[in-house]
Amino acid sequence: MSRDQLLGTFEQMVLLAILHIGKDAYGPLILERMQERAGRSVSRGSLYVTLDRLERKGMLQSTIGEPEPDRGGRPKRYVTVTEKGVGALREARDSLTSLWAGLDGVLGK
Amino acid sequence: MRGETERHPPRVAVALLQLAIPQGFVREAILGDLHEEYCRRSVSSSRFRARLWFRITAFKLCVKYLIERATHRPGYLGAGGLPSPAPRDNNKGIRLPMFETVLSDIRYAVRTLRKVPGWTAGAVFTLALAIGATTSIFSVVNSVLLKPLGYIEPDRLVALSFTPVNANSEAVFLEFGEQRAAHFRTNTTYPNFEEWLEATTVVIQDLAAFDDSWSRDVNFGAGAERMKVAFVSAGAFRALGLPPSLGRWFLDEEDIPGSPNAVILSFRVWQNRFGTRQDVVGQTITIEEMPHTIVGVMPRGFSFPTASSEIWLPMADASRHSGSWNYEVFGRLKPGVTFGQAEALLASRSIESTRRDGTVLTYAATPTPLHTRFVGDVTLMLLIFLSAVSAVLLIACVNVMNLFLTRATHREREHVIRGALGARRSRLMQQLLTESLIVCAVGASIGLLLAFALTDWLVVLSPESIPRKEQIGVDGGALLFTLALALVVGLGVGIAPAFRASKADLAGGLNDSSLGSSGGVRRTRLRDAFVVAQLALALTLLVCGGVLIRSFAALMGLETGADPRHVLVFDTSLPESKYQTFEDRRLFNEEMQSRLRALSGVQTASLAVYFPASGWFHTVDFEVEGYSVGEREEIVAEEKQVTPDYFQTLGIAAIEGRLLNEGDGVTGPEVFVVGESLAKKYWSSGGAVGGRIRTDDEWLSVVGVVNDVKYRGDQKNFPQLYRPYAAGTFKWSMDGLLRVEGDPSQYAGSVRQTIAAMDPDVVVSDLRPLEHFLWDAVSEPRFRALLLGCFGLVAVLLSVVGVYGVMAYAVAQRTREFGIRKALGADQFRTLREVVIRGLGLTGLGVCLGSLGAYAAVGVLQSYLFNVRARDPLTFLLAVGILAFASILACGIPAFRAAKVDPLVALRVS
Repeated sequence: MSRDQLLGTFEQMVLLAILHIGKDAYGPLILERMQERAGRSVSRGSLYVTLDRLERKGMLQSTIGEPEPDRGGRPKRYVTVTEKGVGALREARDSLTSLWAGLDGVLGK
Repeated sequence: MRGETERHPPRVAVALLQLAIPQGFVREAILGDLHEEYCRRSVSSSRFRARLWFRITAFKLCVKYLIERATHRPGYLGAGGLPSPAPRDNNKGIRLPMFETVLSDIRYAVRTLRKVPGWTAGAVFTLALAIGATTSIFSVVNSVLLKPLGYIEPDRLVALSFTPVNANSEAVFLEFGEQRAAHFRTNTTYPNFEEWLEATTVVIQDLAAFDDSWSRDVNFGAGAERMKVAFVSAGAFRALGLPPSLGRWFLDEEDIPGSPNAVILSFRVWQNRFGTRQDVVGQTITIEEMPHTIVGVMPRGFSFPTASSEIWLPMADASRHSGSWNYEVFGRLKPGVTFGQAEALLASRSIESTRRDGTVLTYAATPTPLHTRFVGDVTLMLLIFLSAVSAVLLIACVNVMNLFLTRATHREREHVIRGALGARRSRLMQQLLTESLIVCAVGASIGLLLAFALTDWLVVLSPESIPRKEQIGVDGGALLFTLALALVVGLGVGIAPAFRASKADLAGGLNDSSLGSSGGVRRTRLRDAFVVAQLALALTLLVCGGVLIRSFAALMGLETGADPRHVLVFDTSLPESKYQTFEDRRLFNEEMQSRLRALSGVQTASLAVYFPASGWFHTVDFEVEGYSVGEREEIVAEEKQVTPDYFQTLGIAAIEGRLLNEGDGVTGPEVFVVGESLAKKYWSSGGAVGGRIRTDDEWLSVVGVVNDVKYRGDQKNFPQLYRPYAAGTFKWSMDGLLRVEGDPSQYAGSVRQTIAAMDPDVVVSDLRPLEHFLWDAVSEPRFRALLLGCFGLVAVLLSVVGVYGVMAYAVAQRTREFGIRKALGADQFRTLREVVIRGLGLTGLGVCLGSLGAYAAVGVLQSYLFNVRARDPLTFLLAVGILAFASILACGIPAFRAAKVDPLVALRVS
């Protein structure tokens, strides 16, 4: 796997949150889910920049919704994880799992 | 409609987001997300909180996106650059948006500037220095002159000035002498004020009088202390319009003598003495041993007439001074009355006042804006400072512009190539202007930091006489000024080089550019013209600074006639109730003198009313036996009541006759000792000793003549008249003077203890070495000389750097030419001469123009000069000498470099 295919922790969190939400995933919802699950505040700016980056890497795909009056007549940007994204997540999990294995003595269960 | 607008997030924040996030569907989606969240928050929380949240979030997002875009390669467009998914595509076209090109210009400029750190540092620091100094002086001008007074509708407040309208009154004014006449133009008596109150009711409401020339012993419960107070009539606070933060203003009946004693406190006194306790109104404090009820506290920042008045007393308290010409009068124009109408109406009214000798004087009043009355005296001085610092800024800008021109010439090839590759002319200009704006922005930022420090320093250094001094500071107005300055300077220094670069000659420029000897005649002329202008400005400033420095030196070198070294002075104030008779006071003072004399290290102890440079003096009209007074002749002396030791304490010597004795006025008859100039004036053929003078009914003998004491700074000194303190009629306040061994300030503690041991109720204040008072007395001329002197030196330094820059550049451009000439056998002195002559030509022209400028400018300073003519030839010569010398030195270094050019190296250069 090439260097830019490696996922950072934050990127993994973003992708996992999107998978949890499903097809309705868009900015505020992802933010909410990440804060809920991770139990810490997440920077909105970092989220948007990361979404852009993941899309450039081909791990995400955006679709544009309809303009909504509640949003000042602006559309939502829905995101879904691509096959490539799922693959990268799987890769990350596997490599981490193999690294975690056998360290229960040090880290505890 | 309103509900709808309220649901809009803050527009400025939205606009900023639109600038920071690349155009495209991503931006729209983000804005939508924020809008949605904003609406949710404004329902669940408050609209205010929602707007605050939106602004903060928008700011953070902008920073995030700007950093993201600045750290990525140009062309990074965020997801906006991604192939946009169906169904909407807002991102057609390949033209970089405006913002994108600006960002790429900034990145490019930062990269190129980092390649020439020395050049960049030079330009940045020159600008920082000049912008810092300009901002700092602007802050002073803004706080003192430009900001409106801190009262309600301050532009409707007017002060009255009084002018005599009949021949009698005019004669009396002239009789006063120039200095006193100025006082009588702005001040009047209380009875006169009451007449004006009636005469002006048609145009002015709440006409009020005030007098802030008094100090009082104030006791808040922890011992009395001397404080400056201001007496104000009841209309004063009404006219100013600012409501008290606690309690009330003075009532009309409190102007009438015999009404209950009232006092209003400043915010600071309330804070420091009462810890901002809310129940302070109704409490009593003691002023001159009389209980006064606190009726009000003024709000924070309120000052009237100056910040040194922290306690206001109603006129009832001041009425015993009602015969004195100490009251200034001001009021508020009635609604609908214009300044012009008031002026016209007042011109037709006059009042009469009868003097003690029966002469009837008639006065008219003219309104002056209150702001002008308060700051009028320093307006000229501050404008001079502002002009001087602007000249420094101009010189600095020229230097930086020259730096940019030089660099533009160096980079000509780069611009030509970019032009050849299709860069538009406007694009090249934009790039170069970005560079100059960045240099200016950095310079202005450093300059701003400098301005904070410089302004603090100016406040410390500036004389107490500067009005509204406590308000001086770098504030929002000054920040805006710096911003505007940076923008103007950035465009100003960048426009000529950018314009030039954009016109780069495509064909010629690609030829070996180093062959062009000095970059064309027109360019050289432009740079030369700049240098000449710089030198001329610098010379003007140097002469102005020089004249003020010479004037200050003349002032300091002045023979004062007294020796202030090792003298400690203080002011004592005896409580009236305990020391009712003159004998009580005399006994206390004599005991105090003998106890102070007994302190180790104290050589003499004396008393006087008043000591030199205390800021106080007492003048009397007098008659000289056998001297016929000329028509309209001013016959006024400064009268001092002193103990015999006074002369010894200050080292004043008897020229003729004797000094005062202990017995004078007590066991023997009362006598006078006079100053030298008084003796010479009225006894021109000698014989002052034995002559007689009277200040009231009784003729008294003159027993001695002493040298004059001229301590009143650059102001006029009156002839002096001394009479024995023991015979005096002065009341409870006396000044003490001690001559001591060593540092006088070390004796302050023991003096305080000694007096407190005698009577703890005696108030001792202003306990300082006499030299400090003398130093304060010259604070204005010192400040002027220091500031303009500094500006002059900085200007010379900057312009000499300018001369050096231009000459060094010219030589560097012609290195190859010099090399060839030398290889062909040219004499190296000829080269040297050629360069020096060009430098001398520029200097000569600059000096000529500068001399003319200085000749014109220095006249403005006339009123500030003491014992020096404004167009003082010595100062001119010195200034020209300094500038010419420095400038020749600046030409000399490049000239030697030109003469020493090694032909082989020079020819290899290209």
